[in-house]
Formats: sequence, C-alpha cells, structure tokens
Amino acid sequence: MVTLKDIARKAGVSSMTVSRVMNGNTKDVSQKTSQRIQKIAKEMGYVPNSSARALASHSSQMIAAILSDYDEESTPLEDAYNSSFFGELSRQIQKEGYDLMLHYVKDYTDINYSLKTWNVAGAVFIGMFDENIKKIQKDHAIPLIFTDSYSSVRSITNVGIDDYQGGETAARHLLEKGHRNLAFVGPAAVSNGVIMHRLQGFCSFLRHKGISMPPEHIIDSGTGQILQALRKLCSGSCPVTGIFATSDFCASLVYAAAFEMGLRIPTDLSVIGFDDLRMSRYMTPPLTTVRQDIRRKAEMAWELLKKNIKTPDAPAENVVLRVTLTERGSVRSLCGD
Amino acid sequence: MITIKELASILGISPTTVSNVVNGHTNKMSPATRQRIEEALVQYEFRRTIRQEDHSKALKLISVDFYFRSKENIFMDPFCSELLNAVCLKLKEFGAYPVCGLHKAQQDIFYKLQARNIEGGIIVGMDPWECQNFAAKVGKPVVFIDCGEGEYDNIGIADYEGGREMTEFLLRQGHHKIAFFCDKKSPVSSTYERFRGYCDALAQHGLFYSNQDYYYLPDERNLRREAVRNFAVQAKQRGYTAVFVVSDMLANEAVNSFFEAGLRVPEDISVAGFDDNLYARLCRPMLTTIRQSVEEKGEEAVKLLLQRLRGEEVIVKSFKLPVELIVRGSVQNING
Repeated sequence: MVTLKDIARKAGVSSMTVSRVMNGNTKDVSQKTSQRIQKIAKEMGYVPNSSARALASHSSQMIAAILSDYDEESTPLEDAYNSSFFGELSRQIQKEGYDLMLHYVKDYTDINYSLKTWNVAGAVFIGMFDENIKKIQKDHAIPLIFTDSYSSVRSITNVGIDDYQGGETAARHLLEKGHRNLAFVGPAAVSNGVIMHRLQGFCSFLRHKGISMPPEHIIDSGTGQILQALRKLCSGSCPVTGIFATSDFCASLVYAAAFEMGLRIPTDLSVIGFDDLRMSRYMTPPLTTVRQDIRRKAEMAWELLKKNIKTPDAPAENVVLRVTLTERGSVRSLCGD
Repeated sequence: MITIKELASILGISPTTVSNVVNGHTNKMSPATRQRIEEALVQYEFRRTIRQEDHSKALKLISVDFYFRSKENIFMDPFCSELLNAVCLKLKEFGAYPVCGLHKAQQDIFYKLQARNIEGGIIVGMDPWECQNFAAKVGKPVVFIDCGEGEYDNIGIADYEGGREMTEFLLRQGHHKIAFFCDKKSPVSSTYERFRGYCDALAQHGLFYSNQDYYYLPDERNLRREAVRNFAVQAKQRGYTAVFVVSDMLANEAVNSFFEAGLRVPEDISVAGFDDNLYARLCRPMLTTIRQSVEEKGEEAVKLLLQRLRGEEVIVKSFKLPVELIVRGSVQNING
C-alpha cells in the first residue's frame, strides 16, 4: 500500500506537504509542486486513506428504531409498512449525520435494559407498544417518540394519523360508488387502537347513512379465514360487493381469495385498501387505497425527536396527520356510468 | 507505532490537546493547531488502539449500508427490507445490532465505518471495481453483498446459472425468440451474469443473441411503461413469444403494461422474472421466476463477518448461493 511517506520520498518533499496537497489545503504549496505531487501519487497508485479529519476518531451518533417483534408469524421488517417508515426515518436522520440503529424487541424489559446500555440520542418506536407504554416510560433520560399510539398515557409524544377519518373515507368512497352491501377485513380489532379506530370510522359513517354492518361482515384476516368468509358473503342473491381491507397487505389477501373463487376485481368485487404502500401499485388491478403520508410522518417524528433532544423538558405532543384517498382501479362504480 | 504522548512531544503540545483532536473534541482549539495536529497524525500514521475492555463491554455494532444512487426509499424494495430483516435477526443471535444507512457517496460509508463504536460492515450495491480498494483502506472487516467477485468478501448468488436455467426453460416451452429486459443500458455484475447465462443457453440451442433482443428499461417509471408499450406494439410482427425480465418488480410492471397494450400474459406473450419476491406473487398471472433466498444471503453475510471479526481463517472469500426455478402461470408452453 502506497503511503504519504512513499510519495514524499519520491517527490523530495515532506509528508506534511503531501498531506496538504492530498487534502486540498494548498495555499502554502506552489502550484508546480502541487501538480507534481498529484502526478506522482497517481502513478504510484495512491489510494487516499482518509482525510485527516476522518482519522480524528469519532463515535457514530445514533437514534434507535425500535420495532415490536410480538407477532409469532412474521418478523418486523417483513411488514411493508414498517420497512417503509423505517426507510423514511433513516433518510431523515441521515441528512443530519445520525445513523439508525435497528432493534427488535419482544418484551418491554428488553427495551428498558437496552435503552440504559446504548448510547443513543433518542428512540423512535415503530408499531404497537400501547400495552407496555407505562412500563417503558419510566425514568429514561433520552427522548422517546411513539408512533400510531392510542395509549391512555397522556405524557408521551406521539405521531399518528387520523385512523377514524380513514375509515370514514373508505366508507364514503364505497357508498359514492353505489355499494351498499359491504364487509371489513382486518386483524382482530380488540386491543389494536389503529384497527379499532378505522373500523369505528367506517361503521359510524355507514350508520349515519342508514347502513348497518352485521358482525359476520367483519372478517378477521389473522385466522386465514378470508376465503371461507368470502364464499359465504359473496354468493347468493345479495352478495357483498365492496370490501374495506384495513391494510394494502390485507387487500392482497382479499385479491388472492377472490382469485381462487373466480371473482374478478373490480367487476365482481371491489376492494379498497389502506396505507398506499408501493405494493398497491403492483397489484392487478392497481389498488384504490386510503393514503397516509409516511414520509411526512417520519419527518414529524424526527422533528419532535430533535426538539426533545434539544429541550428535554419540552411538553408532550400528539401529532395527528390527515389521510387522503388514492383512486386506482379496484373499485367499480355500480351507478351505471 | 506512535503514541499520543510521543506525538505531543514532537509537536511541543500537551498530550491532552492531541488526544482531543483524536477524539473529535475540537471546539475549543484554534483551527491552526487542529490542522497541525491532524497533519502530524497523518504523517506519523497514528492508529488508535482499541483497549481490550472496550471490546467486550461495548455494544457490538455492525454498519449495514445500502449504496444505491437512486433517490427512492429503497427500504420499500422487498429485497432491502428482507435482507435487513435477516441481518438483524442473525446479528441478534450474536448480541450485535445493525446501524443502517443509505448512501450516495462512498466517502460517507467510509467515514461511518471509521466510527470507533462500529466493528465492521455489510455493504450492498457497490460496484465491483470499487470494492477491493474500499475494503483495503477501511481497516475493519467488511462483507459485500451482490458486488461481484474479487479480492474481497462477497456473498452473491448463482446469477449465471439462474439466467441460463430460465432461458433453457423458456426454450423447452417452445420459445425461440426471447427478448431480455434490463434496467441497465449495459448489464453489470449480477445482471451481467444473468444475461450471460441467457446468451449461453441460446447459443447452446443453436440460436444467436442479437442486440435487438436486448431492451433497456429506463429508471423513470413513465418512460419505462412507454418503452414496454413500444415493445408490445411490435412484438408480434417481430416474432417475440417470450420476455425474460431481469427482476420480478420490472416483470410485474411489464405484465401490466402488456395488458394495457392489449397483450395477454401468457396467451399472447410469456413473461419470466427473477427473485421470487412479493412482486412475483402479486402479479396476475403469478410469475414464473428464479428464486433466490435473500434471507440466506443476509445470514451468510453476518456469519462471514463475525468470523472475520473473530480473526478466524476463512478460505473462500466469495460465496455464491444457489437459485431455483419456480414455475407459475406467466409462461405458456407453445410447443406443437
């Protein structure tokens, strides 16, 4: 490996001079000498080891991204929403010289221990931690930003979206397109704030328009029973014509079930999803979906984190972003147009 | 090897000041002093020694960097998220954590790896001719993924075999005029190997590859759709019965573009992809493709890196993981 000393020897100058030239600090070096040195360096195949600054050792400044690993069936970054948000967050913090440290946790005790041992400036929680928030919150010197949390604990800083409005948006769109017999597909809404609020928004809007949602029309996607439920609901004289899937991934499961039943989308069955992840464009037909701005969410999370790093006693904040509708090709109009 | 004390004595400065520069605490000194010290660090080739206690107590952090020049959020690409997922889980087994990044410049990755709390790195997407130099100057163990072969640690897949196997499959299904769709004007490393497999399979069958069979798909999505639609319009008269696309994502898009242009898949034209990821399964019909295990790639990269960190003897530097042909519904048999 060619070193500065080797070049210096060949050029007949000091290594300090070579260093200056290589680092571009050439005001004390004549242009002739500078050019000669650069030529020799190139001929010798010198690979700059680093600028002198980089040698001055530094510690990587980090933010922890914490993902919940509670789901037995899949791992955190397999979920397309998680990886989208993670990616956006990574881009945001990198602009300011921070790196994102990834941590999967199964248990809140993991988190507490780890936050104490790591040397991170702050942490962002991606996914569901509501049940354990009280235990996580206790005496942490670093700022914690939660996302999509509906915890009753008021002193946390959270960035979320208006899930209720999202449910209403889906209902409104299906009704506007003339659908009356509807179904909802999603993971069990029991303790899940996000799903529950979407379902509530959806049902509430329908109720105001005089349409009821019988319990059998609320399909649990987690049990793999979508096909069975659809066979019952999408047949007969009064079939379900419109489905609100509470995530784009769920929508893809509905597509698969429909395909197996020989139902075409949107001709026989209309489907509306949630999130507007990249995958929704790659479905056949491309999915109409309720869109959340993941980039903006990540920006907000980062802004809040920075604020809390700077002013540790800043008051807790709950930021709620609105959602919009992205219309593509999976919802048919029954109004005869 | 020179110590901070020795350096300080040569410069006539206190060891504390020199130490401050080494540790990046330079707020309170004059720029001239700082520069003098930095130049001396370089001249005398100062290297930090890592104290033994530091090593065992410290959290093991591994840098995981994606070096892609495209601006999009690449974690939306299932390849990247699956890989990161596998790396994270494997590192966890060894009590280590990934510190992730997306970069446009090599210098940024280099700088990141110089951090004293980072032990080593896994890098995806660097050009093969840059890897060797980079690995040599970094000074810490680095394992590349999908960065071709050379005097550096790389985990890749049997791209050539995959390209060849898929083309042979298409030939067996009766297709003799097969277009190759690629997102590079001239293929590089992985895509080049797949392309080479395609060419060799054709040659063995007595067919010859013509430049006209290679279709470049632009980076920009609308331009891509345009390009595919242009192909669709002339496909029949030019006699193409099949298209081998270099990735499932692009194949999925192509299927949709063909549909828009009035070509049914596989009845009017067959489409083959590569990867076997989510895009293959979202496509209707589902894609016939070459499967690679991204999970295994991530795991092997972590295993190799940890071996390097432990100073173990590793004979083979470059690993090529096997691939598998997966037959689904996007390729039609047109024999007889």
